Amino acid sequence: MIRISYKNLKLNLVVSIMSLFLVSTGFASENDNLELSKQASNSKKVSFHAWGGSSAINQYIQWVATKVNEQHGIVLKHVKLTNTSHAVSRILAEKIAGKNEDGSVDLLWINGENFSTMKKAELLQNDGWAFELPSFVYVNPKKMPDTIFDFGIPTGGLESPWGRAQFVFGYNSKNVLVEPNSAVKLKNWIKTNAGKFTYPQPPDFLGTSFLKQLLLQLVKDIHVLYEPASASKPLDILVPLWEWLDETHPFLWRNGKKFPLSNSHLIRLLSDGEIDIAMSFNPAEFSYAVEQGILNQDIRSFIFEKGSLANVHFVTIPFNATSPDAAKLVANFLLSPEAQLQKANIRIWGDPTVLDIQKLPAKYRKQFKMLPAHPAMLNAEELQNIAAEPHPSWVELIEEEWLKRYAN
Amino acid sequence: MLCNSNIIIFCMVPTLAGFMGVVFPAFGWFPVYGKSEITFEFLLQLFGKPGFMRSSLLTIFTALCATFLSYWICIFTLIFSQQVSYYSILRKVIAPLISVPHITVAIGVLFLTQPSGWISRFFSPWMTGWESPPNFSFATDLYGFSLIIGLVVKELPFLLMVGFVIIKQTHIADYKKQILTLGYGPISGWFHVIHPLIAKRMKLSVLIVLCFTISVVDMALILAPSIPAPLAIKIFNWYQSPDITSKLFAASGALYLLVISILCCLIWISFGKVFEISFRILSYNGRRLSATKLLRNLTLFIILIFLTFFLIIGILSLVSAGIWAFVSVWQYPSFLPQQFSFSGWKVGFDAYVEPMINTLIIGIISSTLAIASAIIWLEYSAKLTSKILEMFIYLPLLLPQMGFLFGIQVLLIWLNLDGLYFTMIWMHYLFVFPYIILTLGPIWRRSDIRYEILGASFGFSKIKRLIRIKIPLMVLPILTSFAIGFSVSSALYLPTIFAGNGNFLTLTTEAVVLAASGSRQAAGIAAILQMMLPLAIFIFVGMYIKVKTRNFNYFKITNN
Repeated sequence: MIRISYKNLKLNLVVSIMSLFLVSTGFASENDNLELSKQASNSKKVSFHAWGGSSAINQYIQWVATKVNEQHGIVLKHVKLTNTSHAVSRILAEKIAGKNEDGSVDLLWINGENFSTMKKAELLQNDGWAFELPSFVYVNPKKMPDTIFDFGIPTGGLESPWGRAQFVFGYNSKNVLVEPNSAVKLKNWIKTNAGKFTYPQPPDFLGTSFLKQLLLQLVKDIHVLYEPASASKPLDILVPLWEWLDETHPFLWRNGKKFPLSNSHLIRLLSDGEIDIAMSFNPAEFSYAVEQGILNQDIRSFIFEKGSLANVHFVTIPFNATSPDAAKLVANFLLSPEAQLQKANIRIWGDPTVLDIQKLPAKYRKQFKMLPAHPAMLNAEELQNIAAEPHPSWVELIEEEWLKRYAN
Repeated sequence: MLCNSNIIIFCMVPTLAGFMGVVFPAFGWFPVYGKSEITFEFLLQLFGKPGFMRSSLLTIFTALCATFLSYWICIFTLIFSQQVSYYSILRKVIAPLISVPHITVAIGVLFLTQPSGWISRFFSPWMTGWESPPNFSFATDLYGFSLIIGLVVKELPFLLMVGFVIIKQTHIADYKKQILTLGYGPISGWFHVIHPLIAKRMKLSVLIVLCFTISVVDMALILAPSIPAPLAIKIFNWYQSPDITSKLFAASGALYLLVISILCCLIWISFGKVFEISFRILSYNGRRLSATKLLRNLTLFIILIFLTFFLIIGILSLVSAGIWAFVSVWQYPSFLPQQFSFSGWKVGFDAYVEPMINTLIIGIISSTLAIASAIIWLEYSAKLTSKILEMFIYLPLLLPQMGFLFGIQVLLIWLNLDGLYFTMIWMHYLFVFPYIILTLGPIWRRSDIRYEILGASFGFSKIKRLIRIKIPLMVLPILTSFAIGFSVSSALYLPTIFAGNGNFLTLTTEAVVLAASGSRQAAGIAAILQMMLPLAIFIFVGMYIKVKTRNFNYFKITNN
């Protein structure tokens, strides 16, 4: 639970009323009082800034909070974000204002471009802490290179892996009888079922991911996608993607003249029966929505047969975190078999583990095998079929070209 | 005067910081990201961005349409309120619509009008044969008409509220006699005699509505077309993008949007002038444009249709949001929910106690401070300088919040003030104060001077006259402004996040997170949470005014 001290409140109120009359003379006088009250309450608090748009994830973080409190006496506070950029912008503001310690963010849920931006602007703790966490021994970077490469960029131990995201389609099995599990099959399905498919509008994260997923299926030589776009003739590489889209857009929902804005909008369309196939970057999204009654019991999942786009999400510690050591303890707990097991449970969150199950103690290995299944979610084996994220430089190019073609 | 300079500093310092937070990056200056070169590159390249011109036109079109509709429906409603006594009904309807945040109305409008929405369900499948929602785009989607409808639903009640308060302060009855003596009909008489007075007092409110519709993000995200999206959305997306150059484009886009706002205001003002001058010419040549009774009734009829249309859409959208809060399964095409549940509420009432207390404290203190400082400002401000300074007060409403708040955030962190209750109230005050000045200012500045003269003749000092005479006389507009200020404060999302350092939960921060999840039930709960307190304040104020004004009528100075 997030608590606000109402003792401080009173003081603050008095100060705020006083300061109304002080503003023209300067701010110094009230600073000193407040600084004291702030320091006293700062000891073992970890403020964890993480997207808060899913009650499943929020409840999981609450569970983590009670655990780290029992184990380390840490008070973990979940600051619910609607967009990671708000936290990045705050840390940046602190850097500009010269606040090099006692920053407001201790732990941040992050990956991809936000990470590379923060790394470049030197906004992160840079002592390679993540590789030294005790739980990191269960990670197997050889088997799962994404745990140390964030969208192809080496993490350098600046962030600790937390979970895996994987691109899956969810569909209404009453209306979709055969899974269109390749780019060609999907195209044919769309053309015979006009208006029943769409994707979130790029630069929405999921929409762009869908384009990348398609590109991985359509491109002849997949290796060019793992090098910087400038290394090849990027516009030629993208041609098959635009051909696919040109052919299908007239048959999309609203004839491709309007696109849903986000993942949640897409799920709503599936729930209203406006579309029959949706997508998500969380393999457990559809089973969870079925359990919540948001989607009906006929929903099933599939992935492309050539492998589905997958990446890892991380937690990181800003350069000026107030309690970096406590934050590391939390990051370590998040990576522990106990926490990863809980997270992988679809009744709780359903986020696949970043640990190598073979490396775990026998007790946990068994428990991972016994995790419950759900008809709307693919099992761990089916989800093995993955394709790594292309080099990040492709993202901007794809988004810009898409906007030029379809949003003009 | 000392108080006055305090108010200026209180508003100006953060506003300037916020403004710098937009201007510097707009010219490519962002040293932390390794950009320390002043350049016009980003401002110029803006025009080469895909769909940029169409986005600009869409923004201008939707803003002018929405403001035009809201304004003229409001004016004609005021005209006919002299004949049809719908005031007491209207007041009950517009209060909830003013008090709910834009995003609630947007979700509601969408749920009514989309092909899987309530209206379509009402006619399906018995009439349309639709077993699943039809796949067609309403024309509304492509030219921004849905957004215009949503905006009018929110802005019309605000203007009506302002209009009714102004009408109450104007001695309409006397003017009506004048109109009759001069031989005008009620409509043309209104435009010759009353309208110039009303229009002047409403001008600022209308301009703020206009600027707001240009920079609106939350409602546009839901209702506006997306290819291309309105400019404000583009800027919002650029700000949220992790890419550094995007942030610089966002800042230059923000400046450009400010220019568009100023341009639109100029267009609006010049049309107003043309309108005014043409009526003046008409009155000089002495012609009496008197509508026939039929024509008058026809106009009344049309206006009533428009008015009910927008108000009913508004009310229905709130009702649908309210229903969704208790629904688990509601599939197309059933008109009523199939299964009710309280599952979304299971986190329990306890979870909302703290956000509720925060919302109340921040809202009440910031609005009260804003009222107090507005009164001081209006009483003691010298004419010209204050007019220019007043423009500054409105800047927080005009600039895109992400960039503006970033500048303020740097200042607050530098002063070591972020994350405090005081700071939070200060930040809300920045956004509440302009609305208070807006709603209170025109009335306060044109209050009847004779009461003050009467007070002076008793030998009352200026302060005593203010406290004993003017404030009690102004209790109606003061309380109305307070209620509006509270609803503005309670709906603020980004300012709360940016100044709060993650320490502050309000009903709106909770609601926005809830609404971001896919579930409609959560969105419905969010809507209820957000409208609860402002609505309670409006109802409370309404009741208080009723009791208060009953006593006050005895003391009214009559003109004859």
